[in-house]
Amino acid sequence: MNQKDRRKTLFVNHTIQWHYLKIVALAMFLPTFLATACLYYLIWQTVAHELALPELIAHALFPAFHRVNQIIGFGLPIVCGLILFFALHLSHQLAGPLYRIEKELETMVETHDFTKPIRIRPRDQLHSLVEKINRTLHTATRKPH
Amino acid sequence: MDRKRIVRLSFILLPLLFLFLQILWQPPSQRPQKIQRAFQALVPPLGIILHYFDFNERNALARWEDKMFQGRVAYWIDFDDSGARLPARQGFIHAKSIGATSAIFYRIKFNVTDYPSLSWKWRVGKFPDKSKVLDPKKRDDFAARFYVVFVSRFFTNFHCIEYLWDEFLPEGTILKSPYTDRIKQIVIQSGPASSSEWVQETQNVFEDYKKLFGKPPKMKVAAIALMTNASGTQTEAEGFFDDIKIGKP
Repeated sequence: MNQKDRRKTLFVNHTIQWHYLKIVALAMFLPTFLATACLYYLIWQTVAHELALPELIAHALFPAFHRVNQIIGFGLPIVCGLILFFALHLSHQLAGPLYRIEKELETMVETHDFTKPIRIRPRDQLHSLVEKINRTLHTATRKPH
Repeated sequence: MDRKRIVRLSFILLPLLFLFLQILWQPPSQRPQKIQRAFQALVPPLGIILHYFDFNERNALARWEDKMFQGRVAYWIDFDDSGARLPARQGFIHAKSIGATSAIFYRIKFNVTDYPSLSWKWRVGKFPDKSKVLDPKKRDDFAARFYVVFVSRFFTNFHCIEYLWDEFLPEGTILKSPYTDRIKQIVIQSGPASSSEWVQETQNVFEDYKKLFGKPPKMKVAAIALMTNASGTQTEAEGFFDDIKIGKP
């Protein structure tokens, strides 16, 4: 990746990024937590149901249960952090170019310079939209023969 | 109508008339309760049995699950030697542990507020020898114990009452389980083994729960279990169980 194209900030102050961040984060968090919670409940309950005898549950299952809870306690913040990072990254791929298009168009209107094309990062979304805007600008600013 | 019949009828009708007048005497708002109480007084109290295990069939333990902790205790249906013919033979559970701990477990859901009474017969053939053992977990061996298991939605939230027959501990002794505070043990029979005499027990589980856990039960009973164990002491134990009744008095 070009040094120039590297993402410096992952969050542009744009309502659209908030919106996509929420959608992406929810789409990742909800299935993750639902599946984990269901499996967690189902596995423990099934094992406890099979063991059945209170002493056996207390002797065999409780230590394992506490150990798994400790692992989850440490692992869950890491998983949440990773999910948030990916959600931020994905939402920025969409919100970043929008922010850039908006900013570039604003500069064009202020400076009356419509010759400079809008440029977005290669891995960002909305390439086809930017390309069409650039073509429109190029056609509009071309001197008539 | 002959005189005898009139006397008989008067024995029925006069109390009813008396009852009717007594109900009329009450203010109208209290009449429904009075009628209910009056009928309750008329009908002799009948115990309602939710489940009765007589163990008179050879396959009576078919629906009981074996739950192994350490080794397997032998539980089987035995019959008394009274000489009765097959259909009238009285069966019971015979449990023998040789250095093992396992229980038999019967899943049955009921509310102890509705069916608080639990009764059974038991006797002990041989107690485990605890004289050489000091570790509380190893001393958790009993010739006969009866479990009532209360279970909530998640497995960690269970409570259990264990009724014990101990050789030396006095009746009424409450023991803390060496495994968890959620199990409360109470000695309800004390004394040496009597291989021939059955001892009848009747426990009010609701009251026992309140006494042992300090509050009335919110959970339902999920199972009952029986155990004879001797794995901690690595000795032998023998117990007998019969006629388990769950119901209301």
